[in-house]
Amino acid sequence: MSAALLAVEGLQVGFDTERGPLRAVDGLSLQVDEGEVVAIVGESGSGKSAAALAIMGLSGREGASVAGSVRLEGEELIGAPQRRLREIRGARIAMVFQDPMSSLNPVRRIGDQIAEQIRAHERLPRAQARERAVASLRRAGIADAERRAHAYPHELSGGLRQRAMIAMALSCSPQLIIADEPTTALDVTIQAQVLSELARLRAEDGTAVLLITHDLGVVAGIADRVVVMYAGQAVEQGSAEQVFADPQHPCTWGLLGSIPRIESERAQRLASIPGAPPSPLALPPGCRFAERCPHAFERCAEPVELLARAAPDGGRDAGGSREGHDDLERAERARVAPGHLDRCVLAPELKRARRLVGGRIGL
Amino acid sequence: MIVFALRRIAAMVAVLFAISVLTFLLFQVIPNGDPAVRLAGRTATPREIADVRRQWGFDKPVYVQYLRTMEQIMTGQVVSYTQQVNVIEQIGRDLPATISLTVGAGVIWLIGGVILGLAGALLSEGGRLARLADRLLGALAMAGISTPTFLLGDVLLFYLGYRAHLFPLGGYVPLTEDPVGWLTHMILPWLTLAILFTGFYARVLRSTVLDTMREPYVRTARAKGLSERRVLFAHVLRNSLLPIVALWGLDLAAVLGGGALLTETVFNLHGVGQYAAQSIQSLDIPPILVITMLTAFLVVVFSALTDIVHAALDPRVRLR
Repeated sequence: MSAALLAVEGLQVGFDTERGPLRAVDGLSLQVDEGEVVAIVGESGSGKSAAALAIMGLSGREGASVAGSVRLEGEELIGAPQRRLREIRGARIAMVFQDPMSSLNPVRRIGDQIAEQIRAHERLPRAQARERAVASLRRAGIADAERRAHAYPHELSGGLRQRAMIAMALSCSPQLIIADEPTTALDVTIQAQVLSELARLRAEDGTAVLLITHDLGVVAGIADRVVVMYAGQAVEQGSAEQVFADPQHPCTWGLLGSIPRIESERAQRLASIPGAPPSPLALPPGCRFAERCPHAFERCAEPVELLARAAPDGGRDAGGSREGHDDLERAERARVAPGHLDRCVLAPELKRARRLVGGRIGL
Repeated sequence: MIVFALRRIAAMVAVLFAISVLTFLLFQVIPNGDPAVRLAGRTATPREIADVRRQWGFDKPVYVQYLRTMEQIMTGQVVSYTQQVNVIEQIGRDLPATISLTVGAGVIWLIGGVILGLAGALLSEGGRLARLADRLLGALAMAGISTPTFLLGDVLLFYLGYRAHLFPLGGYVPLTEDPVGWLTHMILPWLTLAILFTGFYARVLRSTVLDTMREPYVRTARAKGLSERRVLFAHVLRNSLLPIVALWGLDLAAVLGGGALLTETVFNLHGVGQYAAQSIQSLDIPPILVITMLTAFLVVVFSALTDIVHAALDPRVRLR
């Protein structure tokens, strides 16, 4: 097994608000290996963007307190001096933000903004940095890169702007790109282009990608592993195959059910998860999703841990035959479905039955 | 660019016409405004007054008087009622003092406002003590804005001029005659005028900087691994200066056009503002009219210049 490029353990991100302390991320652990695409999926407000900023060491700037551990090739980033973090930001971990219009400085040329990043990390003459910026734009799939480098953000289309943002992220050949909702502000055809661009770069340069999105549909084609977040916690994580084929947590079912399908027979209302996430100021002690979950029962009021719960073989032959041997059973499950963890106490066979809504997975 | 210039010239003509008509009419309806009475002198008989009225054309319809005055202004022949001197020449004599005052004070208040505003914004993000310092700066700015010019000017004159003999007690020395004398005569007026604007600019810049700091592109700048100094100057301050530049151009125009009359009067600079103040006291229409039109002219020209600078600094702005 290759060493983890990025290892996040027990990440906590808290804010002091006027109405009391609030925990935006509550004990998130994940790992991104070299060249791997890991997706963090969740509704807005689930803490995924706060987690991304904390990994970049940027959330302190926004008034957050961060605890836990974020290691890049073994080097601890939380609590590292700002000078060291600046060396890493942009050079080894680069970020692509959601809205490329507001995330690019409106009064400076695209090429200059990229060259500025290159010169922050490498001692290069201005002209050479500008050439590198143009090359980077070209690499991000922008035709006519010389001319685009002279453009201001408002002179480019949304798709080009996001490509420029990606070009900026690529400019110092980082090991990891954190893409925070990179396609949300774009229309659907451009979304597909930007995603395939990310996939291509990963294939060509072996750049790892931490993709943050609210849209499981975006994840399907390109992610190796998926982390589903809800109310600051990971509620399910595993390989893309595990999460898509054998989703364990009702929250994941809801997200899967809300992906529009082209093969739907007649015009249907797009499925959505009813209700709203709990206030991060007053989180329930038990399952945080229980309030919105149609399958909740008494045990959901008790605290739930993130454990290997998925039955081997998609739960097909999991019966109640090994009751009383919880530990053994779990060890067995972890062996059969390694790394597939979830936070739902429903029995695997119940999950298998209840996650089917009208012939497909839903809530 | 040509369209821009044509538009602005058309706007200028319209503004000058409107403002001159309004000013002219205003002095027709003011009580005790009859210029013939004033020109004829205190002991004039009704006959003498009537003579003056006919001689100066005050018996003609208002629009004829207006057109005649405008013709005199455009040909540089306009004469003031009270002192009967050429108004354009008088303003030409007063303008160097006003320009000296405006440009010097303008530079001081721009730099002072930017430094204090930036300091305030940075302090307000800091710890308890820093926030206290920011409050203090804010209070100082408010004090600067609300201190009357005549009070501040007189206090400075009294302590630094009369008591300490550090500065001369007012008056204007032309720069071409005596550069050192010019400087020593200008320092107190500069400070007096600049303090008002410095406080105001500091408040504007502080809030703009705080807003800009929350812009996503500033976060991007940090994510690029730039140093805090680079983030602050190349992104936050650079973008926060845009509204300040716009403000500065218009304020300079207003002060040039006589807006600094209190400072000019306190320090006896014999500037355009002081001339305007004297003319208003004696209801002397020609200089008032000319100075009003000069102000309007300067505001239009400076706002066009400001727009050009703004467009150069912000590519999203189109010159129209």
